[in-house]
Amino acid sequence: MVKLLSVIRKELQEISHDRTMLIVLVMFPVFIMLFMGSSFRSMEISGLPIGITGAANATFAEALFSEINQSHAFNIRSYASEEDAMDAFRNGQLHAVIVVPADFDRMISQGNGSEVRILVDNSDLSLEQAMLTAMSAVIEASSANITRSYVYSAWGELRGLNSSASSLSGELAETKARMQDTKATLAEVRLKIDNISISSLEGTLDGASNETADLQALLLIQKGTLANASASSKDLFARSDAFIANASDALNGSIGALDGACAKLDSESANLTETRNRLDESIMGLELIRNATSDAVTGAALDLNLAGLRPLRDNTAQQIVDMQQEKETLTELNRTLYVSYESLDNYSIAIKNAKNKSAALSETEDALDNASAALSSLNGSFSSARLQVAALGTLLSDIRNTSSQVEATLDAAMAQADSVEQLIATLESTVAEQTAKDPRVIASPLSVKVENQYAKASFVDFVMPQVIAVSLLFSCFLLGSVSLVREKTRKTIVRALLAPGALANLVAGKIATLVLLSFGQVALILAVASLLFGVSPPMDWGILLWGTIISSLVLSSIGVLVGFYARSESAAIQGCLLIAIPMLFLGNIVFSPELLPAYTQLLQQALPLAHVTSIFKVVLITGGSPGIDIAALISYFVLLSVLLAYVVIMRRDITNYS
Amino acid sequence: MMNMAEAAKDKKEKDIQPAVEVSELTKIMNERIIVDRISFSVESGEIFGLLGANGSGKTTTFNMLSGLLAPSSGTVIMLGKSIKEMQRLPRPEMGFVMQENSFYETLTVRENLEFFAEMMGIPSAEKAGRIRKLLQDMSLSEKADTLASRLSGGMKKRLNMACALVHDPKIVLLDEPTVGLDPVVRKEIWALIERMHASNKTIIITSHYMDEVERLCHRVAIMYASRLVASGTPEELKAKYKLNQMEDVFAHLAKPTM
Repeated sequence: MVKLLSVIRKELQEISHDRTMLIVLVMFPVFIMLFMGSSFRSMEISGLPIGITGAANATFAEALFSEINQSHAFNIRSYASEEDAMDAFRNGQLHAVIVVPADFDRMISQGNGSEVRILVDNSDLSLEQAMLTAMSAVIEASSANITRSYVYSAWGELRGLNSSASSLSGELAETKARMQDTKATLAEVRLKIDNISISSLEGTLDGASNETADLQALLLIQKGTLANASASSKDLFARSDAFIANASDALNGSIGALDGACAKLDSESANLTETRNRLDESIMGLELIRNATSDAVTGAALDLNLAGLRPLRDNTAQQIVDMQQEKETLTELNRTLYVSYESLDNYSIAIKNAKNKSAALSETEDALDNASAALSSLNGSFSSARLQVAALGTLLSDIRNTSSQVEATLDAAMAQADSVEQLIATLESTVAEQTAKDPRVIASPLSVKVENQYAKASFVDFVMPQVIAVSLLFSCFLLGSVSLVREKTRKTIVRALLAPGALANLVAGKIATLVLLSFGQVALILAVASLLFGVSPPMDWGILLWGTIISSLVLSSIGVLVGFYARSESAAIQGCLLIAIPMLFLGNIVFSPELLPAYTQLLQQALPLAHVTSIFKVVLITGGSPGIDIAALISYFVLLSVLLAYVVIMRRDITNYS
Repeated sequence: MMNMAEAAKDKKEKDIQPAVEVSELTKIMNERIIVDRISFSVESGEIFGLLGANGSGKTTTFNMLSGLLAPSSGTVIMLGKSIKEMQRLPRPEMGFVMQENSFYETLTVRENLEFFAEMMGIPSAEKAGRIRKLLQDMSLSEKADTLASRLSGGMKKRLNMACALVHDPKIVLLDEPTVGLDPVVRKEIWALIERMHASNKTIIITSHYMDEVERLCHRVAIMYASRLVASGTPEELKAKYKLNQMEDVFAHLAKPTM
């Protein structure tokens, strides 16, 4: 342990006295950090010159170039021909050439899509990847725009179609209503047709025909009766006329006599009335006088007169009443005579009417003849009607069948109308649903929301693992190897060969010193990165400590091992580079391991630098567990320790160091 | 006054067991024999020189002695222990000063010494005193807090030695310690080696400089074509080959291989 510490102290003393070495040790990580930090603040390309040729003035091509221009990633230069563009490309003036096909616009307009050729400079893999990524993003955005315009256009057509469908739906509804009306009418017709009984009609017709025949026979009978009645009535009429004349004369005479008697009664009644009135006046005058006369004699005389006058007057009044009653009797008789006369008139009228009727009977006879003829004709019509009823039955049957067919057709048509209506409703809802969507989403249905897993301040954060790994790689490799070569060239290693255990301690001490220096370098890098580039501090200082230890142990061991076999410092440097360069390319420093072929990835896993980088990535960025990488490096260190032990033990012969 | 060779001889008489005993040591690399069955022994407190032309196998032998290179065959016994046993000791008893400076240029002198002291298992209580003494011994006290990269060449060489000796080893291996240094610095290094010897350390040194060998080493062994071709004190070798100078002896025995 004393010897080990002695070697470490010696190594540190040597470095402290070697100003150049000291500057290199300090400046190397600082320089790498400054260089990487200022160079890799952003990996996005900007203003990269690219050429375009072909149908560049096409509408959609212009849209594409507009997108490219807006991205600021590219600086577009137009060329008249592909040859001109390729000349510029080969001369290094361009990094890519976009060749737009002549039918670009037409193909896009027809919705067939088109292929834009992009000739890229693939001599620079990183640039190619960055360029293709930027260009793909631009073309995707442009393609989405084109799709969006198509969607808008298609939706316009769909909406028009939807409107037509709505109109059609209205018309269909009307048609359907009409069809239903028609169906109802048909139903009624059928019902009526069903109600029509042809057999009944035929029976009726047969009955009517029979009845007509009966009626015809009856008419003949009636005609005979009428003829007899006509003869009887003529005789009656003659006798009646005579009677009427006689009766009329008698009645006229009676009435005249009665009228005369009544007039005589009236005259006598008037005389009597005047008499009575005079008697009344006389009585009244006498009564006034009587009342005024206080003389009893006069009074008695007056009373005597009055007593004689009053029965006279009452008798006169009775006569008047009797005469009135007589006149009333005469008047009643006269009235009766008038009534009889009226009855006679009525009789006369009745006779006249009967005469008229008798004349009508003749007409009736004629009418009966006519009726008989009409009945005959009617009977013929009935026969014809029966035939027509039979035909009607057939027709109705046909109508029934046809109406059933029409009903079925109407049902089918209505069902179809329903289907069409449903279809139109579906179409409407589908169109409504579709057109309610955001066309930008339809144009670019897959929107990628990139969520940065590691919230770091800048891209410098992400190159920190590489910076530290590279710094440790070169420091440990070069210092380890060159330091041992110097021991050999200065023969100081011979002294270690002469002292027991000194060579092992010398090797271990050199490696331990490099571990210490690695701490310093890592601390320096982190300090510079934090102060100048705002890089976040490590997430786990413990893992940083152990990661630095195991990383520097492995890398230093490799360096020292190289130093054992190198005969000069330049040989040691070359040997280190021989190992370091493949590690740089495969150690997750220059290329991402996922970009490498499978066998190279396996090879990469066999190189310690990849694990060193992974450990620092975990410590500084991801914050996971670097257990596998640390285990891998421990395995490396065990292997390297065995190799170093072998070398220390087996290469004790001075010929190996002279 | 007794010279160094006499002192070593005196010490040899005292210690029965040699500090380092190499027997039939062989190294074959890529089917090529780099070291071919060499055997020698170094007495405790002795300064032993291992000489040879470039490519003769002496550095490979040093590496095998230090334990940095496993021999193909043969044995090395140091202080009665095999190399593997030596390596298991918590505090090594051997120090190896390499030809090239091997310390951290971006540390100060003191920081280098402290680090290597801790690597070599020096207890904390002892560390500070040991470093202070080393700084004094190596004349680096004033530069203790100076970055190693800013030291002069001689100081760097001294610091390099100090780093190897920080754990106070009993046996010190010095691989061409003065190669490429100016004469002044060379003499400083010689003085340091002499001080180490004075502190009773067993020293094995490789060198191309015969004046250095003659001045420092009690005994020498000369390698040629992967084999040990001669050994003995410088005087013995000069007498044996009837040559006046060690350079002549070396030239005679250690002809550079092409």
